[in-house]
Amino acid sequence: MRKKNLLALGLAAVLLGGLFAGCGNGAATETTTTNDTTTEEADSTDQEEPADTTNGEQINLRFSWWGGESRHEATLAVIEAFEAEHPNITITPEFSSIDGYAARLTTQFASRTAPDIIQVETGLGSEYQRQGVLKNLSETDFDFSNFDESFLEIAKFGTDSYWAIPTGMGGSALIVNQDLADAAGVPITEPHEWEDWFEWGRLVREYDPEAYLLSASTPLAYAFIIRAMARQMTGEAIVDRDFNLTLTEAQFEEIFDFIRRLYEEEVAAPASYLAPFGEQLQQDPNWVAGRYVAAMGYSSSIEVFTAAAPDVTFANGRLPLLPDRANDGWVTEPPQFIGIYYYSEHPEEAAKFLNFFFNNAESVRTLGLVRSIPPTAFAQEIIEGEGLLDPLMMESVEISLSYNGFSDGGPTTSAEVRAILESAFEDIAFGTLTPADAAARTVQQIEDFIAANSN
Amino acid sequence: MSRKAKKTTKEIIMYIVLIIIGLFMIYPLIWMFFSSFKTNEEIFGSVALLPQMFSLEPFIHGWTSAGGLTYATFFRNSFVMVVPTTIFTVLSSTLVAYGFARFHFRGKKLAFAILLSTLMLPNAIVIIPRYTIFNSLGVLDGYGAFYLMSILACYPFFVYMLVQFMRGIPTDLDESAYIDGCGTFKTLTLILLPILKPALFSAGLFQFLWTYNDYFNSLIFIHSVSRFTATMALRLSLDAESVVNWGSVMAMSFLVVLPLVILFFVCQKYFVDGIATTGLKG
Repeated sequence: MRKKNLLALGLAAVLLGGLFAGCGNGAATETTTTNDTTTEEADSTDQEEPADTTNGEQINLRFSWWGGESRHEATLAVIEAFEAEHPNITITPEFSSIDGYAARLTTQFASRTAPDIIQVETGLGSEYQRQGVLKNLSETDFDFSNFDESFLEIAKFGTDSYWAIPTGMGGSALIVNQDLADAAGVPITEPHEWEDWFEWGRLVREYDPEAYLLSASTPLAYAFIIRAMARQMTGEAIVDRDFNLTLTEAQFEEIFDFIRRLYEEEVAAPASYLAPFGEQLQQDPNWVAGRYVAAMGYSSSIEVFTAAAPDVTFANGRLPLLPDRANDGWVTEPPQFIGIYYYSEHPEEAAKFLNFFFNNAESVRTLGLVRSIPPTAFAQEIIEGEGLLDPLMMESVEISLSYNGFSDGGPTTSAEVRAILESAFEDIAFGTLTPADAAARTVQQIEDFIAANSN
Repeated sequence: MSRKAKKTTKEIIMYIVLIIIGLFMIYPLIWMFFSSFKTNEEIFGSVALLPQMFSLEPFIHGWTSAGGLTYATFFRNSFVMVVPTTIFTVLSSTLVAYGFARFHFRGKKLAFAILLSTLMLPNAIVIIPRYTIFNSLGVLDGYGAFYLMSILACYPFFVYMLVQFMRGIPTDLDESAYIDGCGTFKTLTLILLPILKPALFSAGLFQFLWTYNDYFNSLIFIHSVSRFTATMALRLSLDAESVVNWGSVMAMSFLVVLPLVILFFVCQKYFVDGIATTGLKG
């Protein structure tokens, strides 16, 4: 019996040990910045040494980004060129798709193991800055002189310093099927107002009962309609940097009513039909067949949208405005940022790499358009000289530059507010809430968010 | 109609119905296979199953991923991660389940309750503490995290499943083994394990499938692309801002599910056995 008890005790210890082992070790995390996980070759079991490389010869930096094949290849080529020039620095690439990218970063921030150089989603830049995970780039040697100062405003997140580098220029875009627009008599490539969409939607349905004016899905349309219209109404972000809600319930209701009409009057294709495609509206067979006049998207996705329907002639639409507006609302924004991790042990070397990445002619040539139209005039000239510039993409950036909008990056684009606005959009698009109810709920939810976050 | 003829007709009808349902079930796989040979416009613009032409190009193009890494690396990584994880899970879960099912010790109820409560925790909640723990143990960016969790029986579902199964085995067997001179460990290996076989197989198969298909945990625990598993590698070429060559993605997806399909057919007998018997009590 004693033997049996001993075994039982052992088994119970193993179990409890497994459950609680973590609590004891958790405290140690703060001090252990895992440099050891950086090197590709590093044996995962050898851990004691937090690899102090500052005095040694070899410095290792981790660089994480998301993207598709062409972006991976081009970025890897630039890393290789940089390593050839700086033999004492190696850069470990950590690339993936955007699925789970932000979730992984959040986990890494929580245990201070994030990569030294980080590609950041545009909307999350300001949130990261507030969390203190981004290095102040004004304190590093990164050379901003090639950048246009007014465009760089966006990388300050309301402070006096630069916290991130915009990787390119882009903005909201209406990607227009010129053939269908002409045939149905819809001048969407001319300056117009939101209200014009209803008349045009009717024209398109009359011309071809299978066609719609707009292809729009929640993740794209919530930004395109709710956020842009709000900026035009008030001239401010829905939740400004000081955590004030700038939009009234009545104004929310007005915007939501506009969305309701879009769906009820069949201006936009049914939400239930487009929901499965998410942001990938170009995968919709009806898009491939050219049955939409326009898709809501971004300059950076124009290539993807046009490539999906090779038989169609494409053009850039102008962006809709309110007749009575505080400002134009539309803005030129980078498709993403690149920043340096606050807890990076080698910020100077990271800045050196970023200088090479953004300000070196050879790198610019290698990178081409993999992160949209480059952010500096210097780079744009090189790309144009190479004949790489996609005219449609460039025109889209020029259109967005022609409006005097401003970026609402900040609390408005944080993950929570985004979720609140998206769910409101969806409830209206699917007809499960009236605009008034949705407006009341949205205001309530945003106020809760503000109460939890401002102090 | 004779009784025999009646029986045959009945069987024929039954088989036809089963084949139709079976085709419905397997259609996505077949579609995926044929889509490997299609261009993007064909995939999204047409409903035809068969491609306009067959060529091995998508397989050759898809095999090499960004940075010159090939799927040979990714497949090797997958197996290096999945096989030990599966074996460790089965071993550790059996031991823990044995403890709970056959022994009486102080705090057993509490320990079991804690174990069960971890079963209710969603993965999204435990992932950050786990990451922090694994970070301080230095097992990140490798498969150590997965091995560690399986060695420590951190999969309460399997423990629970095996406990339930063992409770169904009469203790008379243990007692007669004890009389014949078996110790506690021998009772487990010689008497209980053979009876447990179907349950062990289903635990192993499930763990294999789940670990192999897992995306989220691997994504969080592994950073280096050279250590990516096949499931993670599939996502490397997908991005909203670049044109995706879906033919190659489909070709590789097909190759990635192939081991699971083969495994299922090879172990089908045990799999069905395991599912059928784990539901039985007494």
